[in-house]
Amino acid sequence: MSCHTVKSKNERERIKEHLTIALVAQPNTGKTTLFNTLTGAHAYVANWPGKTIERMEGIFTYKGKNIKIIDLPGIRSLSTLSQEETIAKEFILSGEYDSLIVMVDAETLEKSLYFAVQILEATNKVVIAINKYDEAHALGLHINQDKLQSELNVTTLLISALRGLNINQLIEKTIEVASQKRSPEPAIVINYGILETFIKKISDELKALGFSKDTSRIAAVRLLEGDTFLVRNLDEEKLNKILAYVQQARQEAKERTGFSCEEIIVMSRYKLVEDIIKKTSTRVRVATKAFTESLDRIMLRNFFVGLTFSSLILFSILFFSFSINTGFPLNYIIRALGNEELASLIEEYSLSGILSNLFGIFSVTLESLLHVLNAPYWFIDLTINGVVQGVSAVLTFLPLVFIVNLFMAIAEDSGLMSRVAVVFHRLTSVFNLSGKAVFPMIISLACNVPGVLSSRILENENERIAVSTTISFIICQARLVVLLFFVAAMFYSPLVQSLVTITMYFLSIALFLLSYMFVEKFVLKSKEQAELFIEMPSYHIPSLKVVSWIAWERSKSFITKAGTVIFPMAIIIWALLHIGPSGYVETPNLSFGKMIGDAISKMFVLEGFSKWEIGLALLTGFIAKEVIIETLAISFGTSNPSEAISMLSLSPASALSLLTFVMLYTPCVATVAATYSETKSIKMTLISVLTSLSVAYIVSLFMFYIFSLI
Amino acid sequence: MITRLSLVEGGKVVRIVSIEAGIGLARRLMEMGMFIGSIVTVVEQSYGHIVVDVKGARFALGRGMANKIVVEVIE
Ligand SMILES: Nc1nc2c(ncn2[C@@H]2O[C@H](COP(=O)(O)OP(=O)(O)O)[C@@H](O)[C@H]2O)c(=O)[nH]1
Repeated sequence: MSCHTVKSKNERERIKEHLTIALVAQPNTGKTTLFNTLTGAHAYVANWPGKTIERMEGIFTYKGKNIKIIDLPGIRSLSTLSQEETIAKEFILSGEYDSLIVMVDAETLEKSLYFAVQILEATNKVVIAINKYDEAHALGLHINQDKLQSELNVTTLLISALRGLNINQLIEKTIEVASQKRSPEPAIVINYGILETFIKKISDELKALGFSKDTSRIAAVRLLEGDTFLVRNLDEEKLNKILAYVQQARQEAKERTGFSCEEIIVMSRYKLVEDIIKKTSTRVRVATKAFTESLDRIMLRNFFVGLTFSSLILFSILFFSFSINTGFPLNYIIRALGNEELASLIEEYSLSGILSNLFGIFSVTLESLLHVLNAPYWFIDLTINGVVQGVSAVLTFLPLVFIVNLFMAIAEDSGLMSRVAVVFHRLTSVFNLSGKAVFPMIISLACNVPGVLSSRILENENERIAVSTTISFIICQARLVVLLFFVAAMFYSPLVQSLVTITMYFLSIALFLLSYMFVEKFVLKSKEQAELFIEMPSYHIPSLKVVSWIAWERSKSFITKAGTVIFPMAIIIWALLHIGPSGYVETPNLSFGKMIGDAISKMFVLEGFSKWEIGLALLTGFIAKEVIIETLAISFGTSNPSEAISMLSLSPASALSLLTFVMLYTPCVATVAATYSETKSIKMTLISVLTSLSVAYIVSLFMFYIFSLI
Repeated sequence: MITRLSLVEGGKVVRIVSIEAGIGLARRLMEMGMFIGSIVTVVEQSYGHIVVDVKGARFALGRGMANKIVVEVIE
């Protein structure tokens, strides 16, 4: 926050154009703490207009905007009556501000959210700040911010006024709300059940007297609660008429339900609040301090012990999620143990096995349907081989992305992940990378798109950008599919197969670290050292609710990021393969794609795999890496990918070199899109693509020469 | 006794006297509740890091970073 503060009274008056923001909270929520954090020592005392009561105000500028912040007296409820509280309430209902920051105490969530809901019934020019989240979270409270925000219909942030957590975001969001020119509307409309008919009657009367639709409803509700503030300007005759209605409603409600109007209103509100809390938050039991300390002694005291445990945790996450998803490496292990049947069963009933069967059925059904509808041949081809294939390629990865995120969320939520990051920091800091980077690295092993997106957990800006530019070196599952196909077709000995596979993984991780270092040091010219500074929450049993929130949130961003680019790209690539100089063509041999493939393959003369089929496959591999196999099969007119690889008839050195190139070059358009969305920089996105292309080229050439010598 | 956080042994309680770091680092420390005057409990000195307790929250802090924090041992 750049607090350029204005001290003299003259200067203060000169600033006419400012946004007025008021802080509202129940006593003891941390309002004073927040006010001081926002204004620093530059607050001053002013008088309420026309009153002798004082109020605190502060002025500061933030990104060129002048902000006046008013500290309202703490109020318990909108229905209470001390003089100070009345002033605050009237101020809130009067709407003489650009936005309100309504503070909620995370430690007394129910009571304090009730208070906020009362305000939200009147206006949505509000940002809700859930304060003391630091302490409440440490005690096991989890709040789903996005969900709470959509329940409350206004921007909602989890903050700590004491620690300064999310304060800048709070200022930014509040300014955003304050700058909107719309007039306030109720954020929340509560159903008051039996009172609704009276509310309608009274608000109809008020509407007839010129009240707006929104104001008349809230005025009616407040009247039934005994608050006449909103109708204060009516003349006595009209007011009495309205009050007569209110009186009648009170009586009837009492007779029919045995409850007073106030009671019904309060109960309805509390019910809403309870529902919201149930839907958006959860409490977990945290481990005792002694437990946390003893587990930390294992994880953190001795590096090698910690490293063993941390590696085991990460290895199990990958092993289980990969096995559930593709059967790998479980199928290999079982096959090696001699149980072929079980191995194939695992492959068939792995998630991606089931999914690709489903997509197969869908695609066949759709195709015959299109035939029946007499759709033109090119259209059927475009739909089935272009769109459906491209989209299903991405969707097949959804379960994997979800599962890895789920396991990672469990490790994260239990408190283990932060210890793993501390342990790994010792290794990654050699590359000036903080230990938290194991997080995007592990997720990238599943899929680069969420991998890039998860670089957000890195706090240092240069580090975050350098990681999202280079992390795509890490071999994802799509590339693993290609890797396994190539290795199986090229080498016979299982030992060599595994050796090549493992080497590729190490190579890709090493190249990530090196190019990270290069980008961080020479492109971003960072001078900062990767410092270790990691908060370690108390261990606790992960809550299913929290873990599924996290996993779903991250998988959702995978769908939107990958899904939006894959659709047009699938169409473009299809067009390249099916349109040639002579118009629509059925075989790729006559297409523009072949010409491009030809041109691309010219670059690989040195490595000895200069074939147009390969050039084309490298181009289509840009949609999604596993498409490479498919393209090769189509170009050679076979349905067996291993056969296609044999038909390339490459020397072992060329084959290894090709494989290296495929593993290292830009993974796919979806990853490029993710890189752009994380770095928000075309330059960095280009650097990302160029780095991976050139590194892939150089390393694969190198591979070719080394293995030609052997 | 005035010393640096990196040199304080486990079990001691200290008060932060000054932070000799750039704005970026000082700010990150502040966001986590470590500023001049804060009371910090050193839980343990380990191989490359130091574990501290600040207002009930635990942090692992690199040696280099801890070396920039000047503290007074209070108990
Ligand atoms: N843990 C924690 N405590 C806080 C936070 N904000 C305020 N407090 C504490 O809550 C208490 C009340 O704060 P204060 O600002 O006086 O509340 P006010 O009555 O709303 O002005 C004080 O003991 C603060 O130290 C926070 O973000 N986290």
